[in-house]
Amino acid sequence: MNSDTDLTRKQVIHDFREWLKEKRFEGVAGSGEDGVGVRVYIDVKKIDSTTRETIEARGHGIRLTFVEHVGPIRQT
Amino acid sequence: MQSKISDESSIESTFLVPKRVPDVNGIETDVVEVGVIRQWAVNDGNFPRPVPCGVGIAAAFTNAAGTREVGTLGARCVVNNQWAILSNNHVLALNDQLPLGTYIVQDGLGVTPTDVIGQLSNKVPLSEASPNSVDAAIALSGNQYVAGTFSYKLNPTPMTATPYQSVRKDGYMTGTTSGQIVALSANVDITAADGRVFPFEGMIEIQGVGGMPFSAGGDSGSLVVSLPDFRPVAMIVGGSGQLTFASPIQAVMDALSIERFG
Repeated sequence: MNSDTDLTRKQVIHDFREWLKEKRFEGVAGSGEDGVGVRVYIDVKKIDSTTRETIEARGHGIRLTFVEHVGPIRQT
Repeated sequence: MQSKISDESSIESTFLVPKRVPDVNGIETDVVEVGVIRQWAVNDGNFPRPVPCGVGIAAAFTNAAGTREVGTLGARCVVNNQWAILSNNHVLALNDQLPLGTYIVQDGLGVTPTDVIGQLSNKVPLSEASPNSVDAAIALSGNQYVAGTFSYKLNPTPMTATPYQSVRKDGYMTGTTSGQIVALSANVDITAADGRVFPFEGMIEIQGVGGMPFSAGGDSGSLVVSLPDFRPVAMIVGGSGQLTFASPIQAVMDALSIERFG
């Protein structure tokens, strides 16, 4: 992958994550980067299929990983 | 492995470990002195002073429900040429609810003066409105109360996390566990025991190995170190099931003016 392509990929990922943050979907606790794509943290008890499909559609072309957890992410 | 290696001449020949094992292709043997192998598990009790890192600590404050928020003594560090202990704001200051000077006790349920190992001396305020980068606080202590020891030998030079890096931690609840960093720059909402939600950015996601969680309730504040060289990488803040989130250690050090670990 050349640097121009890498820059584009980073920008696409950045834009997607900003969009996700602004939307504040119910059941989405946040997102992270795994070096290739984006990991989306979802509370399986709170998210609905429409939200998931909306995220998948917006993230088309990005390697998305839905990281499922039960209940909120808590201070331990 | 032997608890103690003795001089060969003092051991009856039938008890000597053979130099080679004939049944296994003559493979060479070695005797390693390991001392007494102890469980490195949860110890709810009061450790002898100075306590090691990775044990349960709490602010000496019992809430209305009669319970304590017990977390982990992450590390011993130096701030302004003084020894201090590092953990989370939510462990040492209950999310900014406790004043500087609050006593920190070990064990976490301790109520007597002899349980005190430090006093809250600085904390990074947490915001519900804007993203936080760390959840961290320190308590001044002394090397008569806290030793800088772990289940491994710490290399105090911090390092930046990288994807897929192998890591380890010593924590109050799950003891010593190994894991792998699976994401960086994570933005997540982390919920406190009282229901408040704190947004975080730039977090590190860690997963345990072998299907085991890397951390659980009570492990907050644990220092995450690299493998195999045991350099500080991050400090645990929270999690859910298999997920653990931690703040990058350099951000923690910068926010609290930590000079070094030791």
